[in-house]
Amino acid sequence: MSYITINFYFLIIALVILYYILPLKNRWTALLLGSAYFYFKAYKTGWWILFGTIIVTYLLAIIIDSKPLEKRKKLKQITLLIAIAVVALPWFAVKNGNFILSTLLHKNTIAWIAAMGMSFYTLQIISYLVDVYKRKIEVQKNPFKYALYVLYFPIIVQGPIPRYGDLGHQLFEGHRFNETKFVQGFYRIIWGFFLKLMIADKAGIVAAEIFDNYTKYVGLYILLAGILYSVELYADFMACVSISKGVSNLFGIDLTENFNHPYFAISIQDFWRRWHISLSSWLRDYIYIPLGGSRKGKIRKYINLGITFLVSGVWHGAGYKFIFWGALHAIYQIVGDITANPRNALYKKMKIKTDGPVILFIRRIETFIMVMFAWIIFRADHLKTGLKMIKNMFAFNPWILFNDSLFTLGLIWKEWAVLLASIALLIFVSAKQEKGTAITASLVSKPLAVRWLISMGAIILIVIFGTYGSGFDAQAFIYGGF
Amino acid sequence: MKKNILFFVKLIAYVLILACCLHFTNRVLTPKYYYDNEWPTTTTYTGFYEIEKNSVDVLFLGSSHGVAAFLPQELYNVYGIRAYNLSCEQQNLLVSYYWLKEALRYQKPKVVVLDCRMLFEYNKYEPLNTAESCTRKAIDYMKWSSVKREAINSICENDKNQTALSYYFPNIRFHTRWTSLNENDFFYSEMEQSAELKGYAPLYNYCGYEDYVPLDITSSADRATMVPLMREYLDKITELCSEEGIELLLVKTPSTFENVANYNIISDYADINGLAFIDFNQNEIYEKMEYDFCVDNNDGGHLNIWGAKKVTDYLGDVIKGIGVQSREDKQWELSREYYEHILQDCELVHITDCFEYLRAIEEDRYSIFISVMDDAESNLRDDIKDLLANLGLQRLNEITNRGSYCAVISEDFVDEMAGTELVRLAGSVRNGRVLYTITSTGSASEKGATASSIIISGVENSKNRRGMNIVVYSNETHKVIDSVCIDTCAEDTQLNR
Repeated sequence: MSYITINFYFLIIALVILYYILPLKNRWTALLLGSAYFYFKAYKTGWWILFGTIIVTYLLAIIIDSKPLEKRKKLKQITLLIAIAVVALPWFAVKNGNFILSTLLHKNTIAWIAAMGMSFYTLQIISYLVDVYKRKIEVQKNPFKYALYVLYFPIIVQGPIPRYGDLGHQLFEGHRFNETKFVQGFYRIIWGFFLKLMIADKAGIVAAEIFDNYTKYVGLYILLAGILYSVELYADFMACVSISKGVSNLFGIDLTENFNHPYFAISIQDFWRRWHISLSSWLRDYIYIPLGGSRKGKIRKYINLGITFLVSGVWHGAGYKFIFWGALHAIYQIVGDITANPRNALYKKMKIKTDGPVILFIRRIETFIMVMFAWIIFRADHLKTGLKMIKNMFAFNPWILFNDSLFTLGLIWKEWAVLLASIALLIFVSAKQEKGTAITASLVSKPLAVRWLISMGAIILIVIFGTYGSGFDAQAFIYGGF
Repeated sequence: MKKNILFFVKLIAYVLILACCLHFTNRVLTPKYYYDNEWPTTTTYTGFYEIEKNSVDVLFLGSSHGVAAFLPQELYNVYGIRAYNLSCEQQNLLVSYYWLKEALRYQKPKVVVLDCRMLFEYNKYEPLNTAESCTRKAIDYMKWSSVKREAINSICENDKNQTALSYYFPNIRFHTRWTSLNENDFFYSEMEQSAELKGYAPLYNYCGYEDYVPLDITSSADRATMVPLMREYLDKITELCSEEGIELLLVKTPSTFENVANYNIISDYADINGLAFIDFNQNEIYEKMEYDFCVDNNDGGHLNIWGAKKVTDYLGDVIKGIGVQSREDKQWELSREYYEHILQDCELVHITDCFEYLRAIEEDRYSIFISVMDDAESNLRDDIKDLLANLGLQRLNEITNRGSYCAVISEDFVDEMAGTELVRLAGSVRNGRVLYTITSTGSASEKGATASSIIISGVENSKNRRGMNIVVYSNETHKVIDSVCIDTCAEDTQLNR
């Protein structure tokens, strides 16, 4: 049951009715029921892995928080490590086991059973355990409420990765019906569909054609694939998050922001403050800062950065390409940090304003290009393939822009027009938001007829022009695969 | 609380309006095959619902062989029998069964004639024996009822590649249709008022197969194998007809695909179930109705309109013999003229003499487009000129030696242009719905090579040959029905096609 299937919305309708019918204090049970049903329906094979993880980590968290361990720090630390191992080791085995076995040890691979959403709930539970350990949060004594925190269905597949402190109370306290929030949630769901069906899945057709047949393409084709994959990944991921946030809004719940227009970033450091924010902040709080962050000198800072991005790479998938991708981002940041002062001095000497529109534009393009190169490695089948594609990008074939070659990549000109118009709309909306306009809030304040016209018009346009249905199998969200 | 109730009311209104918009969108996106198509499946089914209740005595069902073979208007004109043809392209027996069930909600036929082509393997890769797209063509235009729901369930049960949801929301199936929407997608309600040929699709070619041999049924005792699913639904049709007191008549039309083994197995089935079976490939029947495969078949499997007349006339005798009475009915009376027009359209494409042709196209229902290539003046005979003038052309004298000329003659206007260099006419017919662009460059042109072009609705139709290129568009059937060239420089008056 994907977030863009009709059955998912039947479930939502049923849950919304149930949620608001139940007494306030019991409303969380509707969410638990819906989450359990969603997980079981979507993923029957490995549900018991998550079920077991929930029970064990629930008990270990209670032990960590227990009075006897209060004064026995070592034992408390060991219990925490055991708890982290219980949740992280299965994830590591499933995600990286076969890479280690086949590529590093040259042994036969194992058919692991992976639980859906494993990468996301692993980080979510670790943050809960560490926060309980640090007494940042109170341990959840009700096993069903704890289960809801882990299982909460709008985020189990693809995040954002929540913190118990932010989400827990919202899940359990029960919300009165709030029309504004409900309508905003509805708009967010429509926006998610727009991003997924009008941008991600259309761009994905061309990107897949070039990446899957990379030996056939050089020059501008590769550049186009890189750009479109960057767009696809962003739109796809943001679509899922938008739907997750929208669905949560229907129950009066606010999820944390996971994106802040990452392709408007003016440096790689800025990019990571805007891209997959819940993961970046998790890595910052539970890897980078515990390692010492930037408090122990420049060299340690760079080492810590390297380790953090390597973890990020490994989290995204197994294989050299993900390690390389993580390392590349670390190198980008380290080089950026080292060259920051000389660059600023140069700008000063040349009397160029560092916050002027031209410089900002150049820095945005420069950052996008660096990110795009990394995405090419990320998307390619193997590291070698990715590097070869980047090398092949430097071939001269500008005529493909004029001789209709682009229309042979899976989209006819009308679909290209829809894709480009949709991307233009995304850029327009993002630019507005970047300037501080809250789009959904401003929509809600419009007269009823205008709101209805916009939302219905959007739905009809998506139904007509969207990429979905028979013949397409692009419904799975990309980040759901990590 | 009051606020929440108001929200609830707004929500209901929103859902209702959105549902209407989605319904309209889905209607636009669903493919349509009206009478301007070779196989007008949509017209067949939407037209069926236009027929008055309990006014049809004979129903035809089956594949495209049936669509092209059973001519209800001919049956009415000759025998006074009121019939409707519910056959369609690649109609498998499952679809035939559910359309029969659906038809019985509106009509009480006395006879059902079933074309048996799809009893045998047609497409082994398709779970329903025929293309999914053709099943959709037949089911999408069935009205919503328990019959349609049952049909969808049966289809999806037997064909796991199909989903019931895509029938409820056709946009799931036809999500790429927006790239090819045309006039009919927006004027569907207007197109759906027509049921003039009562489900029949006219074909007009002569196949010219001289090696077709009718079947000698005594030549073999072999039995072919029916596709199990098709056999299952044949049984259901038989049972349904028996329950409703309908005479079921099994038929195979003249076709190169038929053989004695097929004949034998259907014959056995008919004997066991007490049904009548007519195989028009059987030599006695073939001879009796004076069938000539060369000129009565459009191709190896489909009959042209003249073959259909022969088969229908033969069936008329059989149906009359079953006891179906003649009835006068305005629904078939009103379509007599249309049928005559269709016959004339079909005959037009076989006319080779230019005099006869120019007389035949002198009809208000045609829009005529003319464009000269090379030269149309040097040997342009006065008698041809007179016939062209009868069509409404007035500037024929302005055509110079090896000069350019183009013209359009439509319902309410005539437009002409002559010159020595490229001349161009652009405009529209049928109240702006059909755009055309005609250009002509005679060989006297010093600026460009000689050429003729007649583009109608974006499609080139000119023969682009020496002389006067003529394209005939029917305003009645909304399609180009012929394209010819009169070579005015040639000695004979034969048309070039």
